[in-house]
Amino acid sequence: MEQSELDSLQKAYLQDTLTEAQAQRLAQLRAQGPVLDEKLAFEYDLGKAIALNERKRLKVKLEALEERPKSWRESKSFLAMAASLALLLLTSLLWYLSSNVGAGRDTFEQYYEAYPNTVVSISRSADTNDDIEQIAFAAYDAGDYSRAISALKKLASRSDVPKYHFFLGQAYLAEKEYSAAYGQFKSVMVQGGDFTLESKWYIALLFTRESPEAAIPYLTEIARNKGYKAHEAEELLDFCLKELVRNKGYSVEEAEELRNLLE
Amino acid sequence: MDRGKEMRLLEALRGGSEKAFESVYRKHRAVFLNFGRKYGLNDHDLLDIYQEAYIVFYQNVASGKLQELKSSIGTYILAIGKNKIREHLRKTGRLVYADTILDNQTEEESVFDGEEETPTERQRILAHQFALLGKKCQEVLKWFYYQGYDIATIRKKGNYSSDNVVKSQKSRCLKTLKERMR
Repeated sequence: MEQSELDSLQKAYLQDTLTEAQAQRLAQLRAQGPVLDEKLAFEYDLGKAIALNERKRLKVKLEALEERPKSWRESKSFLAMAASLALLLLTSLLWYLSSNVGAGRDTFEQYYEAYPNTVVSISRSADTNDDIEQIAFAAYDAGDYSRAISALKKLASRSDVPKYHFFLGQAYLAEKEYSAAYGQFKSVMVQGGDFTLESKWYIALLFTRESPEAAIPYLTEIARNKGYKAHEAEELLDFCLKELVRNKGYSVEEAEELRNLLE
Repeated sequence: MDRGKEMRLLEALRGGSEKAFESVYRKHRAVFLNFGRKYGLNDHDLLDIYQEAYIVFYQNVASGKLQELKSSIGTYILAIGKNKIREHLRKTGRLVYADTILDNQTEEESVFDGEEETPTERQRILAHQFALLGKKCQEVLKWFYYQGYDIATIRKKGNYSSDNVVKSQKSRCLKTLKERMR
């Protein structure tokens, strides 16, 4: 038997696309000895196992797209899987107990800081001139967020560029208008230009207030980028996973599993 | 949408493009929900069904099982979704609707017949042990056993110095996994 023949049969076997002739040939080969038979069976199960993990990872991604966080506990397959994880319980419990990042604190307030104006230099005559951009960012720099919102809204409606949406989101955040802030950050994300990663950070922060499941994919991405807010994202990720255990009915091992899948 | 554009979308999906993943998902969502409402399902259930159908579609693309489209991406997702709606209606005892969908099933849709396989105990434990492997191991095993990449493709994707290095890495990871399964 050629290795290439076996590779080709195995690939079709893993994809469940064996033709009748291929299935017969594979059965013949497997009947020749237990070593090959067990190898193929193990690797087939591995392919299915990876697909199972991928399904869960994709489900989390889609829930984040829908902004409709939902516990995996509704998934029968996940529950069945969780039942088999007793071995992990001890180490996970140690992980859970050994860290107290964010516990008992208002995490959003702890991590929230307004993003500084990095895009417009303010001239001395900003208060008097007609340049609406100057007015918007002068107000923003002065902490006059209500005036900044009014000017930034005009700017964003005239010119649909990420920086206006991003700083409008910032101004809404400062005014504690969370839903409006979220909408602006989402606009930046959809456009996909400047301030995309920063917007993801603020969206993640907003989600940590009530929906840690939805924050997790954003935080994982930020942490993985090893750049802007990566360290804070790691910390918040820990916090969110613990929140799932504390308040969302996840077991410790389910939360750990989620972290491993997304990393 | 023309066939060329759809094929490029499939390639982007197989290459792991996040943008393609989101845009295809959003593009077919409303049509599917409208379709499903005819069978008396609420939007919450329909969204779950759509997501399940989309995941099946995406996994077929990612694994290389779906490389060519006989119809459009939308038709493909709808075909998977129809079967999932039928399963759902059967489970909730609304057989009349289920039979209506079944009767109208096209030849293409019959490809997606049947419920998803329930994972075996070994597959579930393997899934858990796999999630505990290091990132490099997860990556190489996923590329080979889930995405169906050959060794040369993995060498390029993972920046390995040679095919033999990929093979050794894969075999070390498999060995670790087997040991943890004992």
